[in-house]
Amino acid sequence: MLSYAVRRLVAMVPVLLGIAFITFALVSFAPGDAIRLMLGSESVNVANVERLRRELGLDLPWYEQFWNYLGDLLRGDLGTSITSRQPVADQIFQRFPNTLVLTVASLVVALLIAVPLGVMAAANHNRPGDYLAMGFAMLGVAMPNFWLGLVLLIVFGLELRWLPIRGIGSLEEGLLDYLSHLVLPAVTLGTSLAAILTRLTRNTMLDVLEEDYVRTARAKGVRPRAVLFRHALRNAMLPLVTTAGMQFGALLGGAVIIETVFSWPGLGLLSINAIRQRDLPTMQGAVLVFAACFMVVTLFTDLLYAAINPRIRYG
Amino acid sequence: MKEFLRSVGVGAAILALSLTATATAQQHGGTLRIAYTSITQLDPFKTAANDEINAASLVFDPLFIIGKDDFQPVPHLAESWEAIDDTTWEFRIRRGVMFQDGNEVFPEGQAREVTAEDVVYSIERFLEVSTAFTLGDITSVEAVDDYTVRITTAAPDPFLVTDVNRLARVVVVPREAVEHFGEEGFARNPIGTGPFELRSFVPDQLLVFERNEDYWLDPYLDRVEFVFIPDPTVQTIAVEAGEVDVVPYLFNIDSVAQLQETPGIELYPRGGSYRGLGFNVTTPPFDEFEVRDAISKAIDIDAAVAAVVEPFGHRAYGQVPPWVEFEQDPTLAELWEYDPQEALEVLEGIGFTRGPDGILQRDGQPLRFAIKTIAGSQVRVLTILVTQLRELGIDASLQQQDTAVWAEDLQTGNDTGVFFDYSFAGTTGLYSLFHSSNNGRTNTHFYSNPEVDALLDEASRTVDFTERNRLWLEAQRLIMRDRAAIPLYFEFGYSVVSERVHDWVVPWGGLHLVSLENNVWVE
Repeated sequence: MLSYAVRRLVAMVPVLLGIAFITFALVSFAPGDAIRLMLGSESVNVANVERLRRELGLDLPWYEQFWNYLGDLLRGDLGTSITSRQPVADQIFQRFPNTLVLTVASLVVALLIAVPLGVMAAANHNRPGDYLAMGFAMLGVAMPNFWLGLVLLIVFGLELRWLPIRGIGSLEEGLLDYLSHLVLPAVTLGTSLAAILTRLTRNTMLDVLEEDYVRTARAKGVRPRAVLFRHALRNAMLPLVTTAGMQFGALLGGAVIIETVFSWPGLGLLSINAIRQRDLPTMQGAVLVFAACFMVVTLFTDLLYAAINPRIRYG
Repeated sequence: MKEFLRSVGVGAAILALSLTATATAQQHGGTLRIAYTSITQLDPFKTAANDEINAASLVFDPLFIIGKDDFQPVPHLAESWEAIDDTTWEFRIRRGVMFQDGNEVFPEGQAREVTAEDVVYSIERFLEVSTAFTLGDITSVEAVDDYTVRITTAAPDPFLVTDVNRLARVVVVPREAVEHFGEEGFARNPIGTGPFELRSFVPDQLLVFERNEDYWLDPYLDRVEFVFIPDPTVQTIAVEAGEVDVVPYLFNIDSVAQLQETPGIELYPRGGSYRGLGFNVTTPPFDEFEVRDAISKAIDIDAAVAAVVEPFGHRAYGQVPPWVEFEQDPTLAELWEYDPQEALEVLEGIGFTRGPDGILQRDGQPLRFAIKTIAGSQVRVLTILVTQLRELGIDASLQQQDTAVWAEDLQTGNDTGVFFDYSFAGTTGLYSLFHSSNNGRTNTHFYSNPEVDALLDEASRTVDFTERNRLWLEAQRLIMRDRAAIPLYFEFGYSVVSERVHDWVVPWGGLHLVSLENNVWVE
């Protein structure tokens, strides 16, 4: 198990290098660059901008730039932001924990909604409870999350004034303050995943409920609740965990938007601004961290299988 | 009856307003909270971003500011200035202005006075590091005595003091602080002479400034906070919710109408932007005057501007906006007329005929193009114009792009040859957009007219305002007559301000909360 995990971690290195290469090439060939943006300003100081271009090595061909970048990367240096002139690593690690908190919280929200709702739907197959759950699932997937975020923000932040509309809470002000800031973004980000997982839970539960051992359990006179949760749900969890793990990538992507709506100081916002400004080193750093994060979560998901299903073993 | 009730309502509101106005007087204390989108550093010379310039303006003072009423320079750190001759300016520096103390560089009570040497150092550093602004051709900057700075320019340069993007951008920075912290460190630990001192800076969250107790004026505010809200919609919601007091710039005029109706919020107008339809005059078919001319006649600009922009902007007949020193040229309107029939005749005159699909064509080539634009009110204006063109048999369409893509595309020649044309605050926008020396940078029209170049160059060297104005407007007239661009409208700029805030002045080349012109206070 341990050696398996280590092997998987080592295998990440070439993947990350590949990702670094692909993003670098993509960005280099995509139209628009930071220097051109500066040159477009009506009052621009052309001589100083051209000097900056040379100082930052942006006048070199892209493969030379990539070679230099790679050298820095292997020394653990993510470079310096073009716009803020601050080290990229500092900027990323200030914000990364905030994004992690947000995505994990929304994963928790999604599971807290999806599992009970999906089980309820399966238990009430083709009855009102089922329709209600599937209605939610449909709505949750259909609503764009930036729109849902704005609606929640206007209702709970502006009209009812129950929750803060922006920013991250401070733990120094107490856990309640921190959580009150987290609720809206986590619910917004978690809703579409909750919808997907609700559907999935319902369908796998329906399959499992048809299985022989469930019928046997029922025939033995096990209480319906115990049949549902102890016998059926545990087996239905496996595809749920896979999907939740795979969807973590989507959560990271969604965080980019949700962080903007809720002024959440995370990595998503940093990347959005970097993309707008064509701040290549910051973009590159953020993509690498996102990718690494996704790979770690995938590994974690695989390891979790073994914990949930004793029939799976890694050697 | 309804009308009557409404006017009674308005009357009552005005009465209530005047009552509150008499009930509240200026008061010391309180916190002003300003929304911002992005602040990554506070070196005032290394940014073109409004938010960063606004925040840095609290910490640093410029020599003069551009006045709130007439856009003329008003004394600030410089008490006065004069032109010794056509190429020499002398600035008298205010005595007794101290750098901020209580920091690593100047311990409490150990700050020093600002002298002419500091101004010289600041201008030289600005010339060296600023990418966003240029001061023109400066031959020398020297301290004549402790309080007098002399600036010599290579040629007469009236714009040095009248253009908001020139000397007005130079604030005074202490050499010790830059040397102590280094270039990168100074961007996080700004120390200047301004009315507020930076207390804390948490990126993407909050910046806190506190009153400079030794300031040469008496700031009313105790504290200013810059509150991170990256989404423009949420910014205005935050003012409504009372989480912030000010959104310094409203980027989307679509929300102005709604905000005007919102109780507790006031809109402060100032300046704005020029928006038009630009041509790359070297790209076929727009290298032909007749094609550009026909398009100008084929579109009903008045209708589109009335439908989308008014009353938060108005029709433009040239590039020179109403908020710079130059006068508006009333004769320009005659250059533009809406006459679709004549547009067709012009196109037929150069060989266009209607094809089987109803599209005008010449030598089998349909008259088809995509107008490249970025997001903004112009998208809706251009949509209307495109519809009008299509009705006439010109296959026009709109292509919305990301700003960085749009900027590069325009600078490298723009394959479609027609684009959303834009300029902001500067006095010399006409020069930036149409002088041939800026080809491929700010002049994305690739317009090159020796007569226009000569007029703009001559105007830039002319100290006498009347003559400068005449030359400038003549250049504008030639450019418009050549149809290098079709001006559409001027869109006004607004600050969104909570009614608890008083004496706010919309930022113009910097945010001025405390000056000889105003002193912001909160209830």
